[in-house]
Amino acid sequence: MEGAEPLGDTIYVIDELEIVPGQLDGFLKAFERDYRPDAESRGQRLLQRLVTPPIDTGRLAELPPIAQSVLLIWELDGLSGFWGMRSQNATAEVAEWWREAGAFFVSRSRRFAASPEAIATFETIGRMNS
Amino acid sequence: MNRRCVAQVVLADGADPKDAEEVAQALVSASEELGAVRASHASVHYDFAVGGGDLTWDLFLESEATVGVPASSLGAALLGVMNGDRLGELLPSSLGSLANRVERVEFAQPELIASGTNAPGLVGVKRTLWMRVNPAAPPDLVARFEAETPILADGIPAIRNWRWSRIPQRDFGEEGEGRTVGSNTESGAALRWTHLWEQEFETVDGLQIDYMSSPVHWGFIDRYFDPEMPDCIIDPWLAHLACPETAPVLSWDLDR
Repeated sequence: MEGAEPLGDTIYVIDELEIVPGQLDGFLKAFERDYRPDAESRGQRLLQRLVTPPIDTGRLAELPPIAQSVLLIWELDGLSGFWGMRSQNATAEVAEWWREAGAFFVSRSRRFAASPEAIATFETIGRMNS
Repeated sequence: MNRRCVAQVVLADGADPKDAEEVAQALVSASEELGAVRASHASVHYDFAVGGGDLTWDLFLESEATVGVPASSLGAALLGVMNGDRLGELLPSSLGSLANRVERVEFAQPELIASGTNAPGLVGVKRTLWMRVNPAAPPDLVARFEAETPILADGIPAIRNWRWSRIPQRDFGEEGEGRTVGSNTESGAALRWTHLWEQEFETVDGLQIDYMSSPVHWGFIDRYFDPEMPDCIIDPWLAHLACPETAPVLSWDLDR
């Protein structure tokens, strides 16, 4: 939540999307227009937007088509940032984005991560009343 | 017969905190008149509870053979629920003097998946999470969710006692639509919930700090609840209910 004191270390959100061949540009445009601004308003800060393999597939005429993936790495301000994001993402607009964006990707995953050094901090925060 | 019942009691519009306490007392009294109720506990929810009723009512039932003759209409209605006549509903017309203060009671007879009792006799805070698995969820994902949820209890020591259950749909008759489900209508009530996750903590902090801060929660199990996660199978409309206990509930000796 904006202005809230971060609780714990940075939490990273890692999205990986396998893009339908030929749909990379369309996905990136839709992402920048329809998802990123609202995600950032929920406290997700985009750190990296990566493409693998880093090839301009439009210049290749050979078959079969090359499947590319987009890797999005976001950061959240600790636990307060995580729950701030979660308190705002159960909306019809977010659901519609993922439903419509499904035309651009074959599959996707989202994972939450932290640095190895942060694990002990998070464990401590979660065991105040043990 | 499953001998535990868990209910959400929804107060009528305009009912005040004093009404809630009186309803809690009346529910316990009414159940005590039945010889078949071994234990009954009703308590008003904390202010931070969301998505569900105003009280949680827990019942531990004896076998049907020992059911007595109820003197009150509420007792009679409860007997009907226990016998499966109208499982899942308890209409205000059955509630006698409480009728104008209670909108509905949503019953579940949880079918146990797993449980743990680390603090027998604990009188603390009971948290009950009522949830609904999306009917279109892949069965293998539902099975994994059911298998993984108890990891919360392993990873969060503040959870002293816990029970993890399915809510058999046969309990609730035909399913209704949207938020009208469970409402008090002539066609009767139907419940929307499929699973029940109950925990006991020593204090509210155990729930609000330890539980919410645990990486097992936000970094692992929450993926079934987060609508942006591909594994999300839980309807965002949850009933997150918690109340102070006046007696042990989850350590009731169910095998006795």
